[in-house]
Amino acid sequence: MLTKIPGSGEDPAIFSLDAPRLTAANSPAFRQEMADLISAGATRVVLDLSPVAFIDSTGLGSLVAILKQIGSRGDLAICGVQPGVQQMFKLTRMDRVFRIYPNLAAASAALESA
Amino acid sequence: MTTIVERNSFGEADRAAAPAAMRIVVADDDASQRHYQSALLRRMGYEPLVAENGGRALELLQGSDAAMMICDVDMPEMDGMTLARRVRALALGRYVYVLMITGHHSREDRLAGMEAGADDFMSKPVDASILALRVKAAERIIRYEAELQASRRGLQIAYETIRADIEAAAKAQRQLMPRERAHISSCRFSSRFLPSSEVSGDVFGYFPLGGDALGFYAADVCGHGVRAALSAVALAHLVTPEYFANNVFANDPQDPVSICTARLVAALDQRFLEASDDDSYFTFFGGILLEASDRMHFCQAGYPSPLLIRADGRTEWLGEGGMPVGMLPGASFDCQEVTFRPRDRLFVYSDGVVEAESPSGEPFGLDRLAAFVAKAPVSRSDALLDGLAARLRQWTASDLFEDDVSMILMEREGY
Repeated sequence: MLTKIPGSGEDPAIFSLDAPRLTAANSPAFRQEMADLISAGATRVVLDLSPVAFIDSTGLGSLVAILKQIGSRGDLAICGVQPGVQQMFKLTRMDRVFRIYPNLAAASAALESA
Repeated sequence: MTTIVERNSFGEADRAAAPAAMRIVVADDDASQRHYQSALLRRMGYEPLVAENGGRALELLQGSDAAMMICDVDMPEMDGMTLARRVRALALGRYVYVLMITGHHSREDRLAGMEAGADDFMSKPVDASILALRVKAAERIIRYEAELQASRRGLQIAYETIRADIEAAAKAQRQLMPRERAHISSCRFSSRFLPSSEVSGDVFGYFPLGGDALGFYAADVCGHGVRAALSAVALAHLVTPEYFANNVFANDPQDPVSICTARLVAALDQRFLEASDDDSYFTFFGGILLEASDRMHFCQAGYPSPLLIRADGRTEWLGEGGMPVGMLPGASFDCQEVTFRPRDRLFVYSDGVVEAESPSGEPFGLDRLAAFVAKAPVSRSDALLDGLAARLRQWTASDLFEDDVSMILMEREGY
């Protein structure tokens, strides 16, 4: 489900979440993939959500769980937030919890300079 | 029905059959063939049941636990093909392995035999060592089949038990929900609770809080199904009117106006953060109405913004969002305030309403919801809720919702 952005380096690790929807159906797999990456050392992560049009409550839970797993060891930057997802982030105030950037370049730059 | 075990013609004494000697029906109109095959089988440790014709063979299969039948293809009255077909048509609850003895080595016979339901073939004259090999091979398949059947029965029983437990849980959960219609002081409540499966992660309540106050809340535990339902039930048990009042009203009885719905949500947040060790959380909307002053205080914690419909038909969405409950440590919650006058109505709904998707993947959305509610005739609460449920079913082209759906309509009566 996660695709490494071609030409991107290891730190920050830059991934695209290649699924039109993040829901109860695929959240466990996404969560596991991310958990493995983080355990393997990817603690500064850029996640591009451009392909994702819809996130349900379970999907949101998995994103927050990833943020918690990274914790103070690293950083998570999100970009490519679609309008429907943005609406959900706003309703749940996650727009203030996640570091959200308008595009991949801005997100990577923010983590690189950190 | 009596089961006849033919004495073997070699005069051997009946061996005390091993505890699980497989019973095999031997069907042949030729007595010498019957006796010969029976003797071979008995010597191999099996228990032959002999039938001189097809009808008798069927009787024996029905009256015993025989797992195999050896039958001659050429029999008067009922031939082997017909017999095999009749065996397959029996509802025995077990598999019967059919070994067909053909008179001649014909390909057509075997094809027809397979079509009729035979598993294997031997040609006459029956060779003792080949018969032994064939029956041994059959026994392996039969044992495997029996093991499969036993584990399937076990799964079936487990499934039925779980199913019954979930049905009982669903019934218990429905009993926790408030009545679909309630009249609390000057407010009429109507609600619908439509779980996506038997049990639901949605829960809501409305109750008087003493004096001129009444409280209401709606919560949606993330995910659905049994896990979400367990949390929802725990929440419903926790949020009693007493708990609600104790947390919303300030501790100082001299200061009755310092109402804070965020305090209630913060208490729940702390409680559920401590209790849960996984990714689960819930969204919540809680409010309190003070009728004397027409003031409504509310706290929105990630729950969809309710639609406020003024007496003159104007609508507004309540709240600007808020962190869900039990999600992240250090969350803060806001208590907001709005006027709620006679003939105003408040429509509270879970995200299952706006996220309901059409077959092409388009969500029902806030605009369609607002349009539907605004068009609905005033003071026909039940018609509005049932109409919206029907509209959602039409939108999703399905009778079952993918997510739990809760709808609460609260209306203040006119003076």
